Amino acid sequence: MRRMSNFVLDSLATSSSSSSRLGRWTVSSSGGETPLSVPTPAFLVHTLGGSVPHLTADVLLQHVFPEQRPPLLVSIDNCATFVDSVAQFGSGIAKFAGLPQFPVFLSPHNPGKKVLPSGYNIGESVALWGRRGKTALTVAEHQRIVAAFKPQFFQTLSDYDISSTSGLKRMKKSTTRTLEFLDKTTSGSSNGADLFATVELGWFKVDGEEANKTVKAMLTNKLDAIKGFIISGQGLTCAEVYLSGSSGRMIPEGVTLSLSPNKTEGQKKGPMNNKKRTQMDTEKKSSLNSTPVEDKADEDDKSTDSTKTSDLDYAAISEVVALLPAHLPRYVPGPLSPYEILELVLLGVDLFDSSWVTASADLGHVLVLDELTKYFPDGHEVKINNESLPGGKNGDEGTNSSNETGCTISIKDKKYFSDFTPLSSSCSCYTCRKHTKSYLNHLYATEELLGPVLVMIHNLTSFNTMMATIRHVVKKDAGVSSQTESSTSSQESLDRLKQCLKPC
Amino acid sequence: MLHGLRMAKSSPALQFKVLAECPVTKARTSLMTLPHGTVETPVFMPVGTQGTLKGLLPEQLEQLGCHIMLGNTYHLGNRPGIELIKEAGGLHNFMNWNRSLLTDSGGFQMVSLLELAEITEDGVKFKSPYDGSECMMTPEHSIQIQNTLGADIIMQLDDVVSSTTTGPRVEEAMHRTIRWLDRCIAAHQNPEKQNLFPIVQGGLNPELRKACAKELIKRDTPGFAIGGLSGGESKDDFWKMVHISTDILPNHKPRYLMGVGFAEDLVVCSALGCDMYDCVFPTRTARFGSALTFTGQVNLKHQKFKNDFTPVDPECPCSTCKTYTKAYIHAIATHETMACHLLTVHNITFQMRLMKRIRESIKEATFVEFVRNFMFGLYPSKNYPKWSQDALNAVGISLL
Repeated sequence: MRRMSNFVLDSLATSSSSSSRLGRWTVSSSGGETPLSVPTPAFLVHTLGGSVPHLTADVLLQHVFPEQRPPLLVSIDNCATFVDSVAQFGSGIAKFAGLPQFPVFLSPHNPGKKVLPSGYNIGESVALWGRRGKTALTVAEHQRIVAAFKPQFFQTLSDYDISSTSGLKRMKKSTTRTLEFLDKTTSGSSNGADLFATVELGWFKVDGEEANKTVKAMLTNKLDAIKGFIISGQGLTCAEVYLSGSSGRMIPEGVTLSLSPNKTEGQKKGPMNNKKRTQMDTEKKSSLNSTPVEDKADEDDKSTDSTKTSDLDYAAISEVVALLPAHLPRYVPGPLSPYEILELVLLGVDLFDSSWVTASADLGHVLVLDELTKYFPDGHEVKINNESLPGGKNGDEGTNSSNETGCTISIKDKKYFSDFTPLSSSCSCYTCRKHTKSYLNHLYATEELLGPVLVMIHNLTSFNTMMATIRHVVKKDAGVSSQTESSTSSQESLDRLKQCLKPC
Repeated sequence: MLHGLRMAKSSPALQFKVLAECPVTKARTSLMTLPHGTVETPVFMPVGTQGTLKGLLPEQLEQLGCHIMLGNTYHLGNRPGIELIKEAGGLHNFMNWNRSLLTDSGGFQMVSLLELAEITEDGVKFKSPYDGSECMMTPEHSIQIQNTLGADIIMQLDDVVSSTTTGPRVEEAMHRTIRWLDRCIAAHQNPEKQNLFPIVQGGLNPELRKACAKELIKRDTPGFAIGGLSGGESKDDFWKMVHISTDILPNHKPRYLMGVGFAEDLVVCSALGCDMYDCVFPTRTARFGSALTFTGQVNLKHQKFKNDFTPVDPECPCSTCKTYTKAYIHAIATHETMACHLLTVHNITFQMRLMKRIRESIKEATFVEFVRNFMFGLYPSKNYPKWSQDALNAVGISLL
């Protein structure tokens, strides 16, 4: 019998302006070794097909998480084709995917996916959109998969087909079915995994009162079985990505992040060795299209592209958080930008995932935290070591030569063509120690596989740094920081952090 | 006489020390010392076309025991362009690879882009596939680019004709290759840091091959390449051309057989006296879901691996075989780049292991036995291809 998790809150923020909190999430690993302790706010490591995109186990362990073992976020939809193999394997998905050292959080849907098609949650199942199209997932099947994958945590099924434009009838269906799913799930075997109940944000946009009632019903009837909450919703899975144009021109707000790079990047065909990549992208894209709903799904995508900007409904999320018991962790999935994550931490959200990092690596977007590490050197160990960096020229003081603000740059930008400085002057990850922006720019221009590998290493490292800094500031905010000599007030720190993570 | 004198000169940027020779075949194992380190031969050189080896970190490549890799002049000259690499301080610096590099001349790409190219005595005129602009690659230009890239070994621009071409065009190309070699030698700016290798051409015509090799060895270059093969000709012709060439090329200099990378070919051609090989095959086939083993190629996309929870090769020391099962690679093959990386690591490891076995058996004077066992492993029912039997017979090995 596997050990379950334990979530302990270290402190609640005392600041009136924020509901942020620090916690400690004790997690047993798949290997059954000593339990791991994950300080929250934290992020789950986004995976596709059970692996961290582009990174083999040895690269991940050597260059990204030499010591930490954050939980992996594994989604059933992108593992759907090999569920039976995992079942027969018998030792769970983490070991199957070569990462037995890591605990696993199992969700039905990949949070990096934009919008799930509407109109397919029928009967006793929800529609799962995998590589080979739609499959219907019942609670029984879900439980079989949980038993096979052996996660430490899993998300319950929900009728996700609900948005601000849904009617009351659909709303009612969504809440009723979601409660039924929860009911069935808790009455079956937990398979030794901790259950995270799903709360659809869409409910709160259609009928607040009904939404309230639904969450209260969960709390009244199932609180013992619930070890955490997931606030999910269609509107959540669009993240802001701000990038600078080639002439320093900023892409206007409202640019949404698409997980199908062939859509955002156009159909530019690289030389022959990229056929494969393009093919992969097409396959990724066709995960939505390879079903009879082809046109419909595409239309949906389009309409969200133009209408759905990145505006996270903070008010609605805040409303949900207020309903949830303080002693349980709250997870908001999706490709959220660093700034959005910070905002949600301040609302009292504890867990996130790195699907933003996955998407960024595909697009060539690089998280640069030079500003942040200037202000928060104690957020992580500052160690600038560029001695082995090729190219010689070390830039003006190592800082970004451009007038870019914000925390992401697009490495495909022509201005990095001959920039022989590292991605970030304050980062000591493998990529920043060994390679230049110019080389990365070349790798993306030629669509070489090494480009996303190096950007993943850097972005995951930076995401980790960002989280540590957020925890540092929350700690200060909560007044539990031991560093009394600190000259800045907690509000000043917070403002600075916001400024550093602010999109341009 | 003159030729003897030239041969006596040592190469400032390459030392070639033969450690052991097979008493039966023409195989030998040697140490080739280049400006960026010593390479044990026979060696397989992975191809990093655009200044990167298909998703592997340079560090991973080092860990796999790779001491020399290739870059493609043609591709790098187009993107990122020679000016940038110059600014970066050369290709080693640009890609942060501190071991040895070899660059080709760009000539081979002409064969593949022939409909765009026009060959004249001056050089090769072609259209850039990236921006459509007209480019001229002369022998001087090729060397100038390769001097800037700064690889340890650089290749002459040769007049490559398809290996299945026959008739006067083959002879013309052979003679032009020699004329272009002299222009390359004259244009070469860094003989003290970079080694220029000529290329034996002559198609599938034994007399032209011999004539070409004999003419080339009059120039005191640090090593020699055998080119124009492995392009769709019959294996029967292939091995004979290699055999003829290595008979003429001097023993005390490395012989580089271009474009060869199948395990069987590497073993046979090492028996024929070749020292260096390159091929995109191990990395390309990895991206198609195929793993190399001593008993042949394994296509992991095949359904039969769905529930195969064993590694690709239980004896392989690579990180892929130590961590992953065939079932998992099957599960993600061809749709996660991770699967490419896993198989690239494995396939490069396979090439390195194979070459190491060749070298060690030569040192231990057990090469003939090694070849027999290797071939038997590949063909357990002894249905050996005729060409490899013939080739091995020609150097005194009869198969089991």
